[in-house]
Amino acid sequence: MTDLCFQLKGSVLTTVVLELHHFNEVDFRRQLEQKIEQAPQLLQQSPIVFDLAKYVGDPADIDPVALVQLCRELSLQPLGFRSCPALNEAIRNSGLAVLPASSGRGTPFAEGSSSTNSAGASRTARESEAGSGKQQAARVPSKLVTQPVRSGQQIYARDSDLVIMSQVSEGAEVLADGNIHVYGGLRGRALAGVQGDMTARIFCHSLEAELLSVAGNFVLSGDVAEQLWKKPVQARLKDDRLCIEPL
Amino acid sequence: MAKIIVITSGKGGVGKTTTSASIGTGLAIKGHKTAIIDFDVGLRNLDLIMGCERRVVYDFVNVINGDATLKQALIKDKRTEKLFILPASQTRDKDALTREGVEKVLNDLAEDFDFIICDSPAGIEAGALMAMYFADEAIVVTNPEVSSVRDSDRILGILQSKSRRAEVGNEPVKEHLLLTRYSPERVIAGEMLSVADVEDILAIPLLGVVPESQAVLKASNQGQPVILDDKTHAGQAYADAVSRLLGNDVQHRFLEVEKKGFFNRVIGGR
Repeated sequence: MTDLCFQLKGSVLTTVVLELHHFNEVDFRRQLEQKIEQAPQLLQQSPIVFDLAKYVGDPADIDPVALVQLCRELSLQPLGFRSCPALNEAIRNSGLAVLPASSGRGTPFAEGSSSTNSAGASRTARESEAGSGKQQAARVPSKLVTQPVRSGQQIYARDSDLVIMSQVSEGAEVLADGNIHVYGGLRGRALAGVQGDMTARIFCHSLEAELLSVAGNFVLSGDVAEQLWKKPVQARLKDDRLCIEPL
Repeated sequence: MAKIIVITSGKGGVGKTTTSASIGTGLAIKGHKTAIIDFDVGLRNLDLIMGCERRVVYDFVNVINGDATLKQALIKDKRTEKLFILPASQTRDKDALTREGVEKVLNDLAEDFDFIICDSPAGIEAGALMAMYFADEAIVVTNPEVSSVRDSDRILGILQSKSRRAEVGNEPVKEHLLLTRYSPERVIAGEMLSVADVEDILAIPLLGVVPESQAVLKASNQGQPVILDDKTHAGQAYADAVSRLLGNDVQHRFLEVEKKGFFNRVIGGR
């Protein structure tokens, strides 16, 4: 009786889905490089699945080998393709897998800026499967600052919330992967959820900020409604838009 | 052991040298042996404001380089007992100051003197950093004007992080706000930031408010610190500030619009 060489198990994998809309090599490479710059760890550590369901034009025009080669040059890990039956032969020849159509919902991933998508941009969507293999991070204590944050200073709370028990001066920047609480006047810039957490919020006693941003979606001081200025507010994302509400 | 006080601002032209001269003089008048050091190498002004420009033989850089002793370089003030000035070099630039050199001079002065006033150059570069590095206290001179306030805020941040006290972990540098060129009329007209506005933004204790005064220019050109012109509001405001610096509780004056009497309105002037 020989020893078992392997065992088959069921598993659930979290991937990044790249929904391809248009493909021309120059634009695609440039846009992909930009996205990688914004969130390098996310894109380079997760396997990537190409979804051609929303491709504009004839999918048969796509050369899977070239596409995969380009992505590998940018240190991505293409895993497979789905939603393009016409290309199955070519895909298999490229060495990648043909994956079944997805049944789960894809949640839109935070964009780098709140500007509207330019034509031909490819949107990256993250699949969140129930019971995904995502680890629960150990709790990182919030970063607490008790002195005023002065002009020119920058405070970044990595992997946690940021609590500031004084004012944030004009020209100062406060950033956090989590929420930001300012128990004082917020006159500088506050950027919450900088690694992409769209549930992050910003709270302050007095809104006088130059810029507020959650997961890359920002609002400038000029866009804040008059009645909210210098009032206690919270800022949070609602449908990809940053909303500011009184506390 | 001397107390080292840096007079800084970030923004240029707000009244650092004027303040250094007056505060140094005020402390000496009260009986404390005081030295004022000009850290603005290459653009020295303290000697002019103190009226001793013709008696400069050796300067700060000479002492650091060992070309002269401290005793040779220090200029004794002719008007005020116990007041000494260490002028800056005019021909060199700020790189001539080294941290070790400055520390040695300050340590030597600390043995004899009660107060050492460091007149900082403007900006946040090497000269200003050198002037503030060894400070125990700081007087941040600010005009009630937006760019001055922002620059003062920047300097406060730098004081908190780049001073010797911050690096070693001692008690932080004690900060004081000195508002200069204040005009209550313009504040009421809404043209100028008020004391409350500036205090709100900078959040440090108010040492004093020096009103806008023609006496300041006159004093500069005459080479006499304005605190000695004790009939003027500016001079009196500086005297009050010195008093507060020494721990006395003095009420702030010159914050309200002065009600001019009949003769003053007819004849005018201040």
